[in-house]
Amino acid sequence: MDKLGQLREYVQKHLCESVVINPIRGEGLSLQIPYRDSDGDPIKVAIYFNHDLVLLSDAGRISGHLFALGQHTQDTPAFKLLRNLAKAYRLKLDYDSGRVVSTVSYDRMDQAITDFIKVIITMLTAIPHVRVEPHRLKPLGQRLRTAIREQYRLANIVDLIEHDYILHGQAVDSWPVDFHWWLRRNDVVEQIYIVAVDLNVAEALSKATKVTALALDARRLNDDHLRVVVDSHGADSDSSVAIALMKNHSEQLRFKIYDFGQADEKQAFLRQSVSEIVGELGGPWREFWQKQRALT
Amino acid sequence: MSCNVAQYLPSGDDRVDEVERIVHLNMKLKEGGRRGRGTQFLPPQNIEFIVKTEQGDLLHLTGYCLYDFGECYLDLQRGREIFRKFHAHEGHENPAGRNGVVAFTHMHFPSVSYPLVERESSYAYSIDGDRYYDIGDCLTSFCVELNIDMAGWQPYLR
Repeated sequence: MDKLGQLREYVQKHLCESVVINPIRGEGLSLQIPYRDSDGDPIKVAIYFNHDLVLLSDAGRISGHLFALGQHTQDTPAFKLLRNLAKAYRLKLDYDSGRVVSTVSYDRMDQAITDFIKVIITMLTAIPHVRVEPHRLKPLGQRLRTAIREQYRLANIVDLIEHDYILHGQAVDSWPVDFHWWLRRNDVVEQIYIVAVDLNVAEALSKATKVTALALDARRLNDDHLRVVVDSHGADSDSSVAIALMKNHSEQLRFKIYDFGQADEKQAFLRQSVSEIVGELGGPWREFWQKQRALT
Repeated sequence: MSCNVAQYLPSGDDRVDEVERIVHLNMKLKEGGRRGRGTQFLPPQNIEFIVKTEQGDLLHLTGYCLYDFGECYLDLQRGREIFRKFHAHEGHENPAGRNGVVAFTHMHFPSVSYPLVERESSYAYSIDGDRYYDIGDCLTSFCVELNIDMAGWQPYLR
């Protein structure tokens, strides 16, 4: 058999012969098409005769996929995609039975089946790609971050720092880190993570717990440094307990706490940032970061 | 006792030890699950349960039954990590055709080379079972297979 013949046989086997039509309950047919869903399973369409009309149904497969991925509520991207497709192809979402259906006259059936298959393939293969990312944690200290950024601006280093860095973790998918840079010391790269925590507004204890979990994730490499900057100005009892909690864990989890409300700690923190970034150890970082900024 | 899935894997692939450790613990079915806000587009005969292991792990069991086709789909997962998928439908093929044709009712399990994630086929082993027209029957088969205690659960009235 020549190559064209082999190709023809392959296409025949994998596309044409894999269309399977079987009777199903309720005087209908199941049409199995030669495509597979995101799990690698066959896709089927149910076809029922209803007097002079034909009813096409997904039997609930689309809503099942949405449900399995937690995208069955109307505010999710996958559901919005389904709603748009249903509108474009004049399909009905039957909320009572969980099915996507289309009712057409017999003479429009060929086009209706094609459209229905387009929608069902899109939904059963595309949903994992439009999956909602887990909610990102909010920054822990938006006010303090602004204050630190202002100090960095006055020290002329604000453009030499990466802002809003994401630290990928095990406790959560992504941690919000306010400022980031790295140093190269004896050919070893040390990551510096700065996290600002407002303890003088709300949820001080909850923020302290998050910081300790973040510190666990940040210390996976020995040479990385986490610096937690807190603002305890006007501290109430909650923030005092939160600072005590963080201090208790700071030695074991190897992170440092600076109180921005205390002038000496504030100056020490800023001096350290400036000396690292403009100093010799920060040279490779400055070169790298300026190239990155030029690219973006 | 839950099935030893290593017997279904080819040499060069292996079971996921942490998953197998958990699914072989004593487990108990409890009512409950996630709740969504606003209008929900739910599949036919959908179910949601919490499954609690003897060591306190909380797993999430969701599923639905397509009674037009007599098909059923159940997922047991922890967070986004899927431990088992109980499927009843035709046409499943294992990666590289391993173990020949898989029966209508089958249980997917993760292996090191083929984890249970979307966009990819995974290994499954056959289970006795015919078409399911009621999610309760499907749930019972699943719990029997994984030795999950269903005490307190009652079949749905339809």
